[in-house]
Amino acid sequence: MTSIASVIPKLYQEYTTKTPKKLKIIDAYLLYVFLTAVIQFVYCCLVGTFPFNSFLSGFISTVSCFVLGVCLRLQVNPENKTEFLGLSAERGFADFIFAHLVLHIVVVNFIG
Amino acid sequence: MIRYLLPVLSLVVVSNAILQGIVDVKRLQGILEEGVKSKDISTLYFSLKGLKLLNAKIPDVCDVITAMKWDSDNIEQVFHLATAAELAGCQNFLNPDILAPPVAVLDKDNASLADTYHAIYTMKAVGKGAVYERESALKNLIQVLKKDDTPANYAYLFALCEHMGCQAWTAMHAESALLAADETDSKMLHFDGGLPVTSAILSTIIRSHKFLKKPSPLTEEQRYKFGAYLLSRRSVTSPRGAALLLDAAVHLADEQPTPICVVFKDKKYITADYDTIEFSVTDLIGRPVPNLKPEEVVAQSGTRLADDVVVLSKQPLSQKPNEQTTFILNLSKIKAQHGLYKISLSVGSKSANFNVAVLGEIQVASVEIGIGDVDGTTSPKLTTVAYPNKLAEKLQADHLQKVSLKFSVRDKFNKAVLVQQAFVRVAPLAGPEEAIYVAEPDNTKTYKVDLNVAAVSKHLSHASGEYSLTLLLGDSAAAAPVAWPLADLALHFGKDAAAVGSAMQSARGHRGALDEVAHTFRSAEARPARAVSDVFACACAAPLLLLLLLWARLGLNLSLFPCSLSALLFHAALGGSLSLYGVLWLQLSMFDTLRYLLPLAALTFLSGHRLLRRLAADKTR
Repeated sequence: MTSIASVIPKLYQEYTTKTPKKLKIIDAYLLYVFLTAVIQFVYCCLVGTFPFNSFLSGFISTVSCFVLGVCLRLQVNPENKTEFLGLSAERGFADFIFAHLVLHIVVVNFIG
Repeated sequence: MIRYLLPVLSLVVVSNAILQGIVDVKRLQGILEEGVKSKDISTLYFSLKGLKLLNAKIPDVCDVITAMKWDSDNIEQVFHLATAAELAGCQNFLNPDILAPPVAVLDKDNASLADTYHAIYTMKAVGKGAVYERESALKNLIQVLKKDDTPANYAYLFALCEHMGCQAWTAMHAESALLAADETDSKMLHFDGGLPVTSAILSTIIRSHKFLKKPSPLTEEQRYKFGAYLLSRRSVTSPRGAALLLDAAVHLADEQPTPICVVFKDKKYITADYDTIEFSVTDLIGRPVPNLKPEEVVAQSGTRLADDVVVLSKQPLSQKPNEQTTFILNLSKIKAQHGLYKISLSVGSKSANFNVAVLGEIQVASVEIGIGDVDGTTSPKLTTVAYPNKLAEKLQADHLQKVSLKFSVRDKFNKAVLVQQAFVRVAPLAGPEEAIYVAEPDNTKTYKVDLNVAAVSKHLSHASGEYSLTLLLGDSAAAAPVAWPLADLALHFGKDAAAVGSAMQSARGHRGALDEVAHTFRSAEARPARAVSDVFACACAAPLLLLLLLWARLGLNLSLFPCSLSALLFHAALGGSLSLYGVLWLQLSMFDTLRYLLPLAALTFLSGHRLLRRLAADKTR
């Protein structure tokens, strides 16, 4: 039975060598969004939700960004090419930008 | 079978047969004596006729009669004048011209029966009424009757026959004439034309039969039914009505066996002190019933109306000494329990039901009053009050309290009873308002009233102040009702209240515009200290640093940035859009933002489209 200690370095090595660079950039972005959400949640637990709309818009903003990021990653990933026949990576990026513009006008409006 | 049915049938026939009322001769005589003083010919005639029937003294009215003016065309008026003169015994005072009108009527071929009657009786009154050729005269009259055989014309012809000596014809036709009478509710008989015609037919038929010494054609049932009709008209007020009613009643009462009338002598109730009821048993005009044996007057049964319990049966009435018509019923047996009773009284073979009240005294006992909380946290402290005193202290109560009242009603023997009406009245010491509440008894016959002050408030216009509390008790069988001002109350109706007297306004509905409803935001909660906020703001920014660090490690750079117009425009427009969002957060409204965003978005779209298409084209190449 392989121990966890031996698995993690192997996993990391696989990731660094086999994942395309574009995906790594997106992963970094996803990690950043995830950490921001966690910090907001911790603040809410420690201090309180007032004003509630501001908390909600910030938190929802990070969650949505994460979801959109994952979607982009799925479309850009070369392994999924068969899934998105006729949809180029550029098309995916354009959708990503458009969705972000719509998302953030709502978030800014709601933040109060 | 028939043997069992017969008693039942006879019971049905005789029930309510006794007439409950008499014709008050004294009152009618009073009307007639007033009427004699009249200067009106017809009033005078009827008054004299009535007085003659009663064999009363007739005053001297000859001067009045002589001075009377009369119209020779009005044969009825002439008849009234002549007959009045005859009744008063002053025919000699009449002008001889009075014979001209009747002669003129009789010379006519087509004179009506009424005119003929009036003409012939006018001549008779003056002493010239001899009739010759009786047979042919009767034939002619019958011809006239056949043209118009109303009950009224029968009455005139019967009356003419009395004068002409053809009573035998009357006797022959009396029965069929009587059958023409109208029946009301199968209780009363009368003729078309009302009291005058009914009176005339009855009196002429009865007189004619008496003259012929024949038995009366009236059956017993007809006698009672005509009697019932006459009793329904006993409240006449004119001398004419009085004379007609007396004429019929006297003749009907002379019939044998006479219709029996039973009425209460004076009162219809007994009390504990006075436990007998007197009935007067008479004929239609208040004379003793002939051939009536005193033991034939019996109270067959007596039942209490409330529960149909039979309280007496076959109790004979005793005749009052010296008063042949008065019979006494002793009810000492039932005086203990007050209420309404139905007595079935029989006289000979006739019977009737009478309602009698037994009155009892009622008194209020064990009265307790007190103030308690509505929610029942404290039991009321009750004070005893004795009738008819008033509670010395004034009771104070507010809108969270209630006034509790308990009492019982007792009869003379100190037994608890229920009364038909038990109320509690709350009214201001001065002022017209009042509120009355029903007191309900429980199954131990104790009455209880809880007056919730808050509930009372709306019946009294929310006017706080001093009120008096009155207990009201009544019953149809109670000798005296009770109205007892029991206590004074000082009631406080809380913040909705107005003062006694000013009152009312607060109870009225609100008119006009209501106050504007303003939205209030949720009040701000305490925010954390500035330092905490700052720390977390930095903490949120920290991952951004991490991102840049990671990207740097991955070797991200801008070396491949395409230096085309579309790339520059795209990045500038995207940055502009995001900056606009920042401005929206800080100061702009949504509409302004959209107005600015629209061209920026178009620019971003076009340049982005162009840029990405080129990137894609490069890749495939």
